Amino acid sequence: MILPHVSLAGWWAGVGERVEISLIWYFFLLNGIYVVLSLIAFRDVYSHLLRSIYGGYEQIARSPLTPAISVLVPAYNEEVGIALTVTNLLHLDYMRYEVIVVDDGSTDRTLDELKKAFQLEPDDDRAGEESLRHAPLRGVYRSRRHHNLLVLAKENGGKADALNAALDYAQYPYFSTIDADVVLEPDALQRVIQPIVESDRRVVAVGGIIRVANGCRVEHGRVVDIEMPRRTLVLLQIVEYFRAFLCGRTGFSRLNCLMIISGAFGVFDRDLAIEAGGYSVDTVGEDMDLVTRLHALMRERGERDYAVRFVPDPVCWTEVPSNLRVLARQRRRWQRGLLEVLSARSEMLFNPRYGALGLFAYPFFWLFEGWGVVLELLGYAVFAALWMRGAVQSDYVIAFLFVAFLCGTTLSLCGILLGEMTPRSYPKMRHWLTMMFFAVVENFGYRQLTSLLRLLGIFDFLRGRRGWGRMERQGLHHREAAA
Amino acid sequence: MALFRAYHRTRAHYRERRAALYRPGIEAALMEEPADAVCAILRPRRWGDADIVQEVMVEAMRHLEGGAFETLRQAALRLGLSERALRDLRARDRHRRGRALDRLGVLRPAEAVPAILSVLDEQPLELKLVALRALAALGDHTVLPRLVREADALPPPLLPRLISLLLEFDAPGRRAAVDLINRHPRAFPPSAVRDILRHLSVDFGTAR
Repeated sequence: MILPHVSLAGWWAGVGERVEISLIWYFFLLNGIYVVLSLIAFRDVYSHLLRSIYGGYEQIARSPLTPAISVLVPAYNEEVGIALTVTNLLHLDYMRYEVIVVDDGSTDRTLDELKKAFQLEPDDDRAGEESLRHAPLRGVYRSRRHHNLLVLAKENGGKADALNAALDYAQYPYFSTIDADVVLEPDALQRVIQPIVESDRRVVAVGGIIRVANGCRVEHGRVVDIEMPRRTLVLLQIVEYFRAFLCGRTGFSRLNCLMIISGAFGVFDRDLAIEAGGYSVDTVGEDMDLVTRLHALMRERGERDYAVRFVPDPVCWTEVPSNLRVLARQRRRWQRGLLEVLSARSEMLFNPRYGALGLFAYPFFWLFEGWGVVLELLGYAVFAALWMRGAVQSDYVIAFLFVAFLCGTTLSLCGILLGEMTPRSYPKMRHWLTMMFFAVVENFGYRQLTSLLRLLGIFDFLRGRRGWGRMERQGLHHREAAA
Repeated sequence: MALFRAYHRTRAHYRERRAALYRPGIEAALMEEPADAVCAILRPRRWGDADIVQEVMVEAMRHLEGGAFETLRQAALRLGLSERALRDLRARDRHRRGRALDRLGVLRPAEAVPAILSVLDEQPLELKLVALRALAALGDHTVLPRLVREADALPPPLLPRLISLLLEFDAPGRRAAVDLINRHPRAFPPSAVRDILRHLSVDFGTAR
């Protein structure tokens, strides 16, 4: 048998052509989907903004029949700001709610700070339902001053485990998960419950927007002055958060295939969450995991008339990483969590039983957010190699990169514009100009950096790495949060 | 984008400056000045200010009750704000209709009830809720049978919300709420029934 002669140059040209075509298809699919999601988001956010003028939030907030909410706050080594965070939570504008703080075996003075600030005393009468497994409790405390505050001290078991413990003790039909170092706007709960009480279908979970608190002035547990941070890394994340939350999640919510509600702030149906098994301790993406399991549970029960929503205005302020080391840990963890959840729910892929979630959202996340970064980086590497070998023309490369840059910048600008339409937007023109500048700048290094970190997260996932890593917090509750 | 933002911000700044001219009217109401005096301060001084005056008054009235509320309500009637809201009920833009319904719930003119009832069936679901909320705020007990009938057209997840509005009618509203629960037992999850009955101070034997 005589094998056909294939020259090396010809082989390279063939590879080059395939890589080009794959990358172009990937690029157009990804950006095309984001354009559609952004258009949906514009329509939705604008309509929501107009709707909120006559939203009736005050009536919802003061009605005794508005569902009560259990606010769950898992805390690990949060002595710096836990007291102020809880103080902020105890002064929300909402009729009936409770705050359950879980000290997850902190090695610092978290529990002591809580005892001092809220005059805690042991509560032997309060017992959990024992519907979810969690690490053993060391103590249950109630506050002498605040009847709606409960503190659980337990053995360390991780965030998901702490949330399960809190869920076990929660007494209200809905619960909200709050990170221990966030600041909620006073009307956040009334705005996030509105889609639940005024929806024509059963809303099983609602997420709100997370805003970057770095650089803002926080006093007595409230963001009193919205300012920009000075650190470039944080500024880049502000642009990224606007894009991700307002372009991405709003669009997915409209299509009822939202797979992620941020663990920093979300509201969930308690009975359903327990029936779904609570939070999984086997993944670091426990927030996405719970939402996905809620979708699966409703579908498996044959209930299609349900929704998981994102609303763009109940605002939660949080501190984002201000140095590269912590950012790297965070992004690797997020990527690992995403892949853990996707691999646990692989039956959803292109499965019509799961509706838009199976046919669109899951494949989207699997391809573009999960594994797509491999194709992306490999594509760029191969592209560069082919260009150096002359297999790809320079003007073609430049044109492609320019279009990629344009698409990326446009999406970021859409996110910024949508952010301008939401409450508590950055007030000054120089804030806006700064964000627009970084919407351009992020294409030259930051996006590539996050892609690399996501790739490292993939390696972590493939190696079976576990654990959260350490988040170094400056603490929000200084006069001016560290920028 | 810069133009959009500049327009939006300039407009907001202008409206805030104009609104500041009329806020003394709210203060006058709080100081128990007569309606005539309050009306004189709140009378629009420039073309385009009527919308701003309306916004200032309605926002204040949401958080007031008693004498100050009644004074502002009288002033609103004299300034023709109710007529504007009633006209806007027929607007093509649904958000404009929604704002009008909301305003009528705050201003509470006597002619609002028949006007809202006449447009109730035409509204999309989200505006129907605003209309029902306005009717509850108006407090006219004669609309109760109509509200209970609306339950047949509402999706089940919204029935607890309707109950919440019925309770604003005091005793007749409570009876209507119990009637509604009996007519649509499956629409109310156990937690909602517990809350409702606790609020009604009714035992299970009466409700079912």
